[in-house]
Amino acid sequence: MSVLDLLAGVDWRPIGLTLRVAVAATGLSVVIGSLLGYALSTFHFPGRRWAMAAVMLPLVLPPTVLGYYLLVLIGRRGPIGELWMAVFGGPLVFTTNAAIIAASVSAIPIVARQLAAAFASTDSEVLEAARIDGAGAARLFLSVYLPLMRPALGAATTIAFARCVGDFGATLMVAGSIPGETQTASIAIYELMNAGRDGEAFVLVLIVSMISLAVLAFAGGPEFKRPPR
Amino acid sequence: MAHHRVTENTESRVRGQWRRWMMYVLLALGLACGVDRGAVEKPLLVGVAANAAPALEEIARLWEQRGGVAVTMTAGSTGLLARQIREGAAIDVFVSADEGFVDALIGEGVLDGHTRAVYAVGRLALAGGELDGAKTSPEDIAAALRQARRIAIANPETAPYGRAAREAMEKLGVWNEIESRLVFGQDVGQALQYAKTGNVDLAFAPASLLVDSELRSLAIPANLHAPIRQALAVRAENPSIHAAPFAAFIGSDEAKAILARRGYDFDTAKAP
Repeated sequence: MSVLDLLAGVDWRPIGLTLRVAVAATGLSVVIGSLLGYALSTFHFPGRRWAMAAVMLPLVLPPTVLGYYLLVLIGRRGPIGELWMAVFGGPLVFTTNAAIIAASVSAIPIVARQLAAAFASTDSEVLEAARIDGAGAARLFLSVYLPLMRPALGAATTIAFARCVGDFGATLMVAGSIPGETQTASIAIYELMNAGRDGEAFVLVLIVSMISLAVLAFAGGPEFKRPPR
Repeated sequence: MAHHRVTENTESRVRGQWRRWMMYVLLALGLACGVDRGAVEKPLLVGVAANAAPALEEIARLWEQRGGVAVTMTAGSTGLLARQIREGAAIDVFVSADEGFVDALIGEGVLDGHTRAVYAVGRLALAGGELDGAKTSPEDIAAALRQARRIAIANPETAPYGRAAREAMEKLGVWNEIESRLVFGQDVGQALQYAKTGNVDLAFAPASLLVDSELRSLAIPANLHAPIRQALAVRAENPSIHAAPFAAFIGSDEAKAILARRGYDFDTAKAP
C-alpha cells in the first residue's frame, strides 16, 4: 500500500474533534484554574494545604480513578448529570461535552498551580497602590493581577492545551468512543491498534506528536528560549 | 506630563493584551457550549459488539446504498456498550454478542423489547501463527493450548466470546492448568490483535474476525460452549426514526448473506 493510499484511507474526524475538544477544554480549565489559583494564593484559611492538595490531585491520580469520580458526578444519576439533564434535556455522559470535561479535569491543576505561584509572587506594593486608589477585589483581579499574570497565563494555557490533546483514560470512561462525537485522536489510535489497522494508527500518532511538539516548542516557557550568553 | 503619557501607553498595551486573552477564553467557552448545538439530523448511531463490527460495516454500507440514512458505529465489548447505553449514551441500535445483556437492558426499560431479535449465532475459533490447521479434534485443541506459553481471550466478564472461550477450556479440562497463562483483552478485537502481532501464541476469537485474516485458525466445536446467541434491540427512549428499520434490515436476507459469509450461524428455533 502506498503512502497516498494510506492517507486517503485515514479517518480525519478524530483530529478535528481532538482540536475542538482541546480548545474548549483549555478554555474551561483556564477559567476554573485561574480562579482556583487566585483563591489559593490570596485567601488564607484553615486547611488551605489540603485544599491545595485536592486541586493538584488530578495530576497524580490514575485516569481510571478520575473517570470513576467523573462518572459519579456527571453520570445520569450524578448531581451534575441530573442538573444537565434538567436544563438541556439529554444526558451529559458519552457526548462531546463529556469529553471536554474529562480533558479539562487534568489540565485544571496545571493552570491553578502556575497561576497560584504567579499570583503569590505579585508585588504587594502594586496591589497596595491600586487598593489605595480605590480598586475593589474584582477590579484588582481584572486590571492588576491578570495583566501582570500574562506570561504565566500564556504558559499555563499552552501546557494545558497540550495536556488536553493527550487525554485518554478519563475520556474513554465518560465519553466512550463514538466516531465524530467522542472518538478523539488518542482513542481512535487505541481502537485502530486493536483493529489491526496499524498504518492508520501511525498517521494519527505522527499528527498528535507533531501537534504536541509544536505547542511545547512555541510556548514551553523561558527554559526553551535561547540561554543568555 | 511626558511621564504620564508613558504610563498610559503601557497601561493601554497591557489592557489590549488582556483583552486579547479574554477573547481567546470566551471563544473557547463559546466553542465548548456550541459543540452540541445546531446539530442537523444526526446519523444513526449503532453500538456494535467487536466481533460483528466488520459484518455490520458491510451491512451498513449496503443499507446506505439502498438509500438508508448514514450509519455511525461505535465498537466495543458487549458489556462495555451495555454500560454506556445504561448511562445514557445516544446509541440507537445495540447489536450485541449476547442475549443476556440485551435482556437485562430490556428489563430495565432501556431497550425496547419489541425490537429484540437474535440476528446471528456466533462461532468461536482458535487462532495462532503456529497452529496446525489439520488438527481439529478436542484432544488436539487441548494439546495446542497446553503447549502455548501465552493465550489471549477477551475478558469473560464483559465479552461473550471470552466467556465461551472459558467454557470451552473448562470442558476440555485445561482451564486450571492454563489459567495463569491467559492474557485478557478488552474485547475480542484486542485479544486477536495480540496473536496477530505475535505477542501471544494463541488467541480465542470469533470466527467472523478470522474470515479474511492470514492468521491460521481452527473452529472450536460448538458443543464445547453454550451457543453465542447474538441479540440486538433498539433504544426505548426516543431513538432515531431510522433505528427500527435498520434493525429490521439486519434481519433481511441480504444482510444474512453477509453474516453467513462471515461464518455466523443462525437461530433455528424462531426467535421471539
